[in-house]
Amino acid sequence: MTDLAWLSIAEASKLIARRELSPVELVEVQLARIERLNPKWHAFIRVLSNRALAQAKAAETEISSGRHRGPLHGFPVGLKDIIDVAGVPTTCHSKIYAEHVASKSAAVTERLEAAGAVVLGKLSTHEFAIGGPSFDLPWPPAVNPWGGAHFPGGSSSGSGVALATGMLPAALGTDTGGSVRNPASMCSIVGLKPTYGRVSRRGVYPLAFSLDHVGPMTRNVADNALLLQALAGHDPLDPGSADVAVPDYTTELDKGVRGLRIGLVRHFYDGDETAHPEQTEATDKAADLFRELGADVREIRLAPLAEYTLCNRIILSSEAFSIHRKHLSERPSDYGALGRQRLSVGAGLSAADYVDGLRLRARLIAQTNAAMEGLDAILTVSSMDPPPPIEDAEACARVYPRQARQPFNVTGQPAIAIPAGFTKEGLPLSIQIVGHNWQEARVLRIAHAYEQATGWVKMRPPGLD
Amino acid sequence: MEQDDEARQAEAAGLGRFWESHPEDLRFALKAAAALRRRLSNDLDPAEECAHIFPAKPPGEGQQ
Repeated sequence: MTDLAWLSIAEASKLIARRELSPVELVEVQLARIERLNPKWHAFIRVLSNRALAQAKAAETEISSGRHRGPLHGFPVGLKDIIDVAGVPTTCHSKIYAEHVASKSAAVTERLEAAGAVVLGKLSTHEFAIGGPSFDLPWPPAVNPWGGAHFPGGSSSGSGVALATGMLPAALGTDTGGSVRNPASMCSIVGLKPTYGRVSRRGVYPLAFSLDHVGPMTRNVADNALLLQALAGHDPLDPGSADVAVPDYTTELDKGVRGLRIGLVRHFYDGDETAHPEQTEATDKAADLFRELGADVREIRLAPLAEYTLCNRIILSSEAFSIHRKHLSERPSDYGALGRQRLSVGAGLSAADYVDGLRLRARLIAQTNAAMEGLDAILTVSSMDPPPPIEDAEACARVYPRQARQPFNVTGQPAIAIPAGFTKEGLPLSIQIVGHNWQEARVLRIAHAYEQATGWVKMRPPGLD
Repeated sequence: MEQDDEARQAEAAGLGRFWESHPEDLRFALKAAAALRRRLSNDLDPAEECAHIFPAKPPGEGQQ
């Protein structure tokens, strides 16, 4: 049998449904792996061993009695530690919330557990999903196995590392300025930010209300579609949740890209910014590959990347300061230095600045929609650079903002980051595919076609096993 | 003088204690905010755009 730690959702689901694999066995394999690897890579803040084993046993009993709920039944998942699980601490990777125990589960936790998924634990993040990578918090930062000891991106850093190391097959992250797609890019996994409003944020500690998204992180695109299927849907208790029909995300996956129209946004990485040459080459090659596969790929122009970045930062800083002002005023020393700095930027912005940010946002959304008219999707970079060593604070600070993810938090469109090869030094490269609102299925289809044609997702970090 | 301005700004934002214990972090944040503000320029006609800023369905269609 394949190494159980690296099973996909589809593979595990088949084995579990046929009772050739017990959910208990699968969870035990993952727990043993976590015990062995987590002390080095720090993906988990808290492992919920007993709870997970009880859930796995319950799943096994239920499946044995003939009730198989679907592909996630008995399948292990992890949650970024800003997502609530009833009775379990949600620390937000911060001393401020170190003792905070959630009274209710988040909507996404409820949905995963209703689908039969087994929650293995809570995963490292940057402090309050913004302050990192930091070495002055109660828990160490997650470390990327690609490169040996590199920056895993963030803020859903533990989610990315847990998947890349085989400690988990699937996880949830959150994305306010790119925090699902950044670790996906840095850790050579798949991360989707769905359309704003597609997945409920109820029970997820906010960073910026109007930019926050919860997204699935997996090791391949098909698994991402399956995880999104369980997460998507209207939640009347999240005012940002949309009452929009949820399609079957798997039916379009194998349709290929022939006849699709893709806009290549090259000026983001060769003009507005200058990406690492191997990242540029990988993105241009992806455009060529889509052409070979039958897509019509043409270069288009959006607003300058800096405009989107400015808009994201004005809105994010203002909303985040509103959320953190009380703690920043009363307990400033309980934040790490990066969290303290980044969360207090809003103290220097005015109400008029925030409204100007919203006005800029309206303009950017209109411009983006106009530029995408007649197109199925956009292709561009996610990160400008491969990951630097995590101990190199200066390099991490330089690389962190060099990205093209924030535009799609501003517009709310679905955007996925997928592996696109490696540098000569063996560091991950990635591309980003962006769709129209509510068209995650199209985004997943294009990403799947690329994945099938390249096979980058099969690569694993050297020296783990 | 600049330090007095920063202290006043911190006090106005309710961050007096923060300023006393971590002046460098707050100074960093306020400089970052000032840099963002300098880049903001809004040359749209408010009469034309006013309906788009606070719609019932931000930021895409179909939202509550």
